[in-house]
Amino acid sequence: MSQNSYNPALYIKKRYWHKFSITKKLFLLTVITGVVLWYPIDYLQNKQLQSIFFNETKKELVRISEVDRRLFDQKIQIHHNATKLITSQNRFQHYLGNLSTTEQPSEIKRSYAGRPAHWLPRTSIMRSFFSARFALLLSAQGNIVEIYHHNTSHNGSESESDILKALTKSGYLLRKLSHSQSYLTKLNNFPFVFSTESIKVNGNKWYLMLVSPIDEQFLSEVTKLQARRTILALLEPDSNKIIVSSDEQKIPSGESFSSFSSHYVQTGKSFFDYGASDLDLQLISAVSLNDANYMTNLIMEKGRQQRLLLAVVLIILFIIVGFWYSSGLQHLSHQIAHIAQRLISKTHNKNLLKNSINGDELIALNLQFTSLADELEQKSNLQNISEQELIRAKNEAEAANYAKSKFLSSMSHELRTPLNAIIGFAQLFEYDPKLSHRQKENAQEINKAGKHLLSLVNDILNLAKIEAGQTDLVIEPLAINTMFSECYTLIEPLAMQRNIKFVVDECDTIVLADAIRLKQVILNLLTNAVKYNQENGEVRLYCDTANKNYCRIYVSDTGSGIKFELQKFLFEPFQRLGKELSNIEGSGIGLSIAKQLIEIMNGKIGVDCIDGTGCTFWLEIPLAGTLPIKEAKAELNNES
Amino acid sequence: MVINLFKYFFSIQLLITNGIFFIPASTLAETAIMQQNISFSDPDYVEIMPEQWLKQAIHYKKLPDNTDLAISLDQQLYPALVPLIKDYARKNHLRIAVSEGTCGISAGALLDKSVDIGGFCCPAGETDRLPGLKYHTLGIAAIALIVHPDNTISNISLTQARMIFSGQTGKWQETEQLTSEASKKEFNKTPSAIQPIARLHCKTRPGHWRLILDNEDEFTPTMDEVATIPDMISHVAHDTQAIGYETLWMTRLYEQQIGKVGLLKVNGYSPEDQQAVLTGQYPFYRTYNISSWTHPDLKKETATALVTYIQDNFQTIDQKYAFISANQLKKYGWKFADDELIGEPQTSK
Repeated sequence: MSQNSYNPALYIKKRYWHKFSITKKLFLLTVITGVVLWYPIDYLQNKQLQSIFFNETKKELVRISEVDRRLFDQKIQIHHNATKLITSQNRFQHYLGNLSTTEQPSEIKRSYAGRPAHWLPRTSIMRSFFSARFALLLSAQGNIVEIYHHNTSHNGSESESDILKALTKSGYLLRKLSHSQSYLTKLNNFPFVFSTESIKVNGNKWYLMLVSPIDEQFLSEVTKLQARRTILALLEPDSNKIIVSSDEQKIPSGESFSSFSSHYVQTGKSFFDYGASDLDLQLISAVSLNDANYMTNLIMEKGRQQRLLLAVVLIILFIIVGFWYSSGLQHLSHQIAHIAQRLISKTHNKNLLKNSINGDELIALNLQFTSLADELEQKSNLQNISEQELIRAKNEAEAANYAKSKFLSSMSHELRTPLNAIIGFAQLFEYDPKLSHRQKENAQEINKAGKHLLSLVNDILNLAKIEAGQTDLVIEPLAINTMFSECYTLIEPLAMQRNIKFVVDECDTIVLADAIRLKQVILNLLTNAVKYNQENGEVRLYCDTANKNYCRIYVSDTGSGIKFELQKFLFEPFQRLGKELSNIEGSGIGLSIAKQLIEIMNGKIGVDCIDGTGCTFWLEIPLAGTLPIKEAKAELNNES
Repeated sequence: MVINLFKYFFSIQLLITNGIFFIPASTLAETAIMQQNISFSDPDYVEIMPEQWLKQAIHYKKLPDNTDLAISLDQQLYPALVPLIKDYARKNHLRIAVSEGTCGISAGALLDKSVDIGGFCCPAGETDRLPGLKYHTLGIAAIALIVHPDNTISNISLTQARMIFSGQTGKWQETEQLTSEASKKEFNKTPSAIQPIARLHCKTRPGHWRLILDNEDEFTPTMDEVATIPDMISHVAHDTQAIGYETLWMTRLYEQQIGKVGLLKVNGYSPEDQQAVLTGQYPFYRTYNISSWTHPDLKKETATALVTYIQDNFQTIDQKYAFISANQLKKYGWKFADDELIGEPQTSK
C-alpha cells in the first residue's frame, strides 16, 4: 500500500459521528431539519404571511365598513320613512282632528319614552322602526305644539333647546328642506338629521318633524347592528378633526383622527349621500388594529397548525423511507462485511470491520472495500512472488531432470558399450571348448548378469528418453487382434516354462497408438504377469470395447496380488514393492515406463488387485473413432 | 281622451301652485307624458329668507384671510372644473379655495353664505333659489341605464324603463328587445325577475332620477335603494337581473374599480350618442349648474368673471365627462332663462 493511502482506522477516529448508522443519522438529520431549520424558516414565512394576511384582513375590514355606511344610510332613510308611516296612521290623524289649531299653545306639551305621546303609534309598533330622538308636532305656522322625547334618561335639554332655537330662526326653511326627506345639517355646529312630513286634517295643516342629533348614541346604534364592532365617526375633511364618534372614550371628539391611526384602521370615508345634506363632513369607520391582528393571528395560528402537522407527517414519511432504504444498505453492508471478514487475513482489519458494522453503512462499505482492495493487492503481490518462484523452481527442476536424463543417457550409452563387449566375450567363452565346465558355467553367469545389466540399462535409457521428451511416436490405427497374436507368440514360451496357462481372447477393434510402444507395454504387463504368477497359474489377455471412445485392454494374473497400501507406488520408478529380495529379476522401472508411454499415447494405465488372488492391469487406448473399422482395417491391409 | 287631458292639466296646475308633486291616478304611459316640463323648477321663484339672513355678508369658514374666492362643488363637477379654476386663478393671480362635496353641501354653503360659487349636478330646487343668487347652467350629461354585462337586452323604450322602475314590468322577457332567438332562449333559462336599483338623492331638486319617475313613491317597493354611486355600480355589476342608472363618466370610473356593467339604449338611442341627448331623443340626463351672487353686497366681480370663464371654456373639458355644453343646448332649442336651463326642446322624447 502506498503512503498516501486511506487509513480507515484514522478516518473513524477522526469522525465520531461516523459511528452512527445512516438510519440514526437520517433520524437526527430529520429532527434537526424539522426542528432547528423549520423554526426560523417558519418564523420568516409566518412573518411574511402575517403581513399579507394583515393587509388582506384590512381590505376585508374595509368591505365590512361599507356595511357600516350602508347601515348609517339605512338609519337616515328609516328616519324619513317614519314620518310617512306615522302621518298615515289613523291614530295620528284622529289625535290631530281633536286638536284646536287656532292659537299657539301657551305651553308646549312634552312626552317621554316612558310616557308616550298619544299621537304616536303604539309602543309595540314604534319599537320596530322609530329611531328618532325627538318627534315634534308643528302647527301650519310652524309653532311647536307637542314634543316627544325618545329617551327616558334624557332630562330635557340641550338638544331640545337647540332645536327650538333653530326652529325659531329658520323653521320654515328647515321644514321645507327636510320635507319628504331626511336632511342633515348643523345646529350650533353639531350635526342633526331632520325629517318632516305634512298632513291636512279637517282642513288644518300639520307638520310632523322627527329630529335626531348625530351624536355618540346615534352612531353607536348603527354600529350595534353589526356583529363586528367598529367605531363610526364624523370628521372634518380638511383637518381630520373628530366631530363625534360612536365611542367617545376610545376616539374622543375634538381630537385629530391622525393621532389614532397607529391603533385604528380608517376603513371608509364618504360624504352623506343619502337624502340631502349640507354637512361638509365625512363619515368614517374605524377598526381597531387589535381586531385586525386578532383576525390575522387566528388565520396564522390555523395555518401554522396545518404546517406543523404537514411537517410531522413529512418527517414520519421521511423516517419510514429512510429506514427502508438504510435497512437495505445495512443488509448489503453486513453481507460485504462478512465476505470481507472471510477474505481478510489481518486481525486488525477484521476487528475494524466487525466494529464498523454497527456504524455508518457507507463508511463501513468504504472500509470493507478498502480492506478488500488492500488484501487483494497483498495477495496479488504474494501470488506474483510465488509464481516467479514456481517458474524458477520448475526451470530448475526441468534443468535438473534434463541433466539427469542426459546423464543417464550418456551413462547408459557408456555402460552399454562395455556391457555388450562383456556379454559378447562371455558368450564366446561358453562356446570355447578349451574351458572347463566350471569356467563355462561362470561364463554363463557373466553372460546372464551382463544381459540383466544390459536390460536394466536399456530400461533406464528408455525412461530417460521418455522423460527427456525424446521418444518419437508414430500414432496410427492398430488392430488389437494382431497385437494380441504377436504378444501371444512371444509370451507363450515363457508361460510354458512356468506351466502357466496363457489365454488370449479375441479383440476385434482398432485403436490409435504407436505399435511398438503399445506392444512394449502389453509385453511388459504380460511378462510381469508370468513372472509374478504362481506355478500352474493363469495369465489372460483380453479387452473391453463397450466404451465408444477407448478400448480397454486387460492383463490378469493369478499371482499373490499387491497390497492396497502399496498400489500407489506401483508406477513409480525403481519400486519393486518388496520383491527386491526375491529371486525374480527386475529393475522396478518397467511399469513406470509403461505408464509414461501410455500417457504420451493419450491413454491411461491402472491396476485392480485383490490381495492373494492376483491383479488385473488395464490400459485404455483411444479408439480410431474417426475411421470406421472397415476403413481402418483396409488401411492396415494396405500398409501391410 | 278628454278625461286624460283634464287630468294632465290638473296635475300641472297643482305642481305650479303648490310646488309639490302630485301623482294622478293614471297609467304609467300617461305618467311618462306628464314628465315633460317638470325637469326644472320655476326660475322666477325666490325662497323667503329671514331678515337676519338677508343682512348677512359672505364669510368664509376655516380659510385663510387672503382667500379671494371660495367655491363648493359637487363630486361630479369637482374633477372637471378644478383645472379650469386653477387656470383662471393662475392667470388672474387669485387665491381660490375649492372644496369637493355634494349638491347638498354646496346648497348648505350657499345658505350659510360661506362660498361665492356653488356647483350642482342637479337643476336648482326651490330651496336653492335664495335671494340674490343666480344659476348658470354649464351643460348636461347623459344618465345611462345600466345592467349586468351578461344581460342580453340592449334596448328598451322609455315607457318600459318607467314600467320597470315602477314594478309594472317584472321580467326581462316582457321587454321587447332581446337581441336574438338564441339569446332569448339562453336568457329564459334563468329566473329573470328584474331588480331595479335606485339612488334617490337630492329629492327636493327636479331632474336627474326624477326624469325616470318623479316621486320616490312611484318606485316599486321591491326596488333596492342605494346611497352612493359605488353602491349603484356594485349592485348592477354583481346582479344579473339588476337595472340602475348613473352618468356615463361615473359609470366608467367605478367600473374600473368594481366591475363591468352594460349600457341600455332607450328608444333605440344610446346614452353615448350625444346627438340624441342634444335633440332630447335620449331622455335621461343630469344638469350641471354653478351659482353666483347677484346681490350687490354679495357679488364679487372676480366670481362673476370666473363663472364666465368657466362657461366659455366648458367645451374644452375632457371628453370623458361626456358633457354637452349650454352653448350646444341653446343651438338645439333647449330653453334658457338668462344663463339657466329651464326646459327641454319641444321635439324631445
